[in-house]
Amino acid sequence: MSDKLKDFIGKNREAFDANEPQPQLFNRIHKQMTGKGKTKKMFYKPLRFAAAAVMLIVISGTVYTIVNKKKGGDDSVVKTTQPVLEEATLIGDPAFAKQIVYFREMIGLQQSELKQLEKEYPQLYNQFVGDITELDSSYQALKTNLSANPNREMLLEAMIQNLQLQSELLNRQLLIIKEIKQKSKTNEMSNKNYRAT
Amino acid sequence: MELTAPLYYDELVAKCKQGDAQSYNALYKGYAMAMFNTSLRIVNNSTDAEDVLQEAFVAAFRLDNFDYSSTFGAWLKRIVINKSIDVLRRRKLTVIDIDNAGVNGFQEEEIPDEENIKLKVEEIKKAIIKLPSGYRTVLSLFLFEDYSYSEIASALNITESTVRTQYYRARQKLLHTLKNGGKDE
Repeated sequence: MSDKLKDFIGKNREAFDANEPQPQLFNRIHKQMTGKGKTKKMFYKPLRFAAAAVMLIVISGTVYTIVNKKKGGDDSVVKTTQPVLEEATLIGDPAFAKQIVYFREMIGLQQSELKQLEKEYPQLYNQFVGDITELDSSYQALKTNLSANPNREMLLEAMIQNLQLQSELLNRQLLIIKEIKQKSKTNEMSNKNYRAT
Repeated sequence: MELTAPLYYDELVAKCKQGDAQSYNALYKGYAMAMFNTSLRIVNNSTDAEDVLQEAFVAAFRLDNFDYSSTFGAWLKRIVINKSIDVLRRRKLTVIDIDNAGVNGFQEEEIPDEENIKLKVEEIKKAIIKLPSGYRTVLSLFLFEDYSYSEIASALNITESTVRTQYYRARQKLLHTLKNGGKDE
C-alpha cells in the first residue's frame, strides 16, 4: 500500500535532516574519547593486564630474593607502598586510585631492582635516575594541580599515563643493564677462549 | 544519508577500533547530521539532541558491542534512538500519553483527506514539533526511521496494538494541523 506521506518524507529526507548540531560537538566527543578511551585501552585489555601482572610477579620475586640475600630484609620496598596508599586516599576515585597504586608499587619494585645495580654501573645508574626524576617531577606537578583543577578526570588520566611511562622507562633501563651484563659476560668468555688458544 | 554503509565506512570502523582519531572525525562527519535530526525529532530540543549525539558517538566509537551483524550506521542509529527515548523517560513524561494528548478535539471530526493536503517540508516539520512527545516519537520512528510496529513497541516498551493506535492518531493529528495551515486545533 502506498503511503503518500511516507513517500514524501523519503523523497525529501535531506531537507528534513537540515538541522545541524553546534560545531564544537565533535571536540566534546573527542575529548571524552581521549579521556576515557585511554583508561579503557590500558586497563581493560586482559592480555596487557596479564602481561603487566606477570611482570610484577617476576620483578617482585627477583627483588625479594636479591634483597633477602644481601641485607637480610631491607624494608625500602615496604616504605614506598605506605605513601602510595595515602596518595590513593587523596585521589578519592577508587578506580583511578587502584590504577595509581598498581603503577606506583610496580615502579617502587623496579626502582629497587635498579638500585641493586648502582654499585656495578654507577654512571649509568645516575643517568637513569635522572631521567626518571624528570618524569616524576611532572607527575608531582600534576598531583599538586589535582585539588585546584575542576577537570580531575583528565588530570588523573595524565597522572596514570605518566606512571605508565615511568614504569616502561624503568623496564627498558633494566633491560639495557641486563644486555650490558650479558655482553660483558660473552666478552669475558671470548677473551678466555682467546687466551686459551 | 546512506545508512547501509559502503566499504569506506567499514574501513573507518576498523580504524576506530584501533583508536584512530581521524577516523572518528570522518565517521562523525558522515553521520552527525542525520543522527542529530533523528534525535531532534524525538527529544524536540537541540541541547538534548546534542547530548544524545555525544553519548551515542562515544559509545559507538568504543565499538564495545558492535558485532558487525549490522552496519555501523544502523547500529549507531539504534543507539541514538534508544538514548533519545531515555531522555524522554528522564523528563518523566510518559512516552505514551494517548488519553491526555488532546486527541478528543478532532477525533470526532472528519478524517482529513490526505489527497487534498499539499505536503511541504517546513510545514510538516513544524507540525511534528507541535505533536505530544508520545505521538511524535511513534510517528517519527515509523515514518522517518523505518521502524516496524513491533520494533517501536519493543523500543518504547509498549504493546504493538498501542503503537498502531498511537501512530494512527498521531498521523491524524499531523494531517489535521497541515490541513489547517499549521494550526493544531
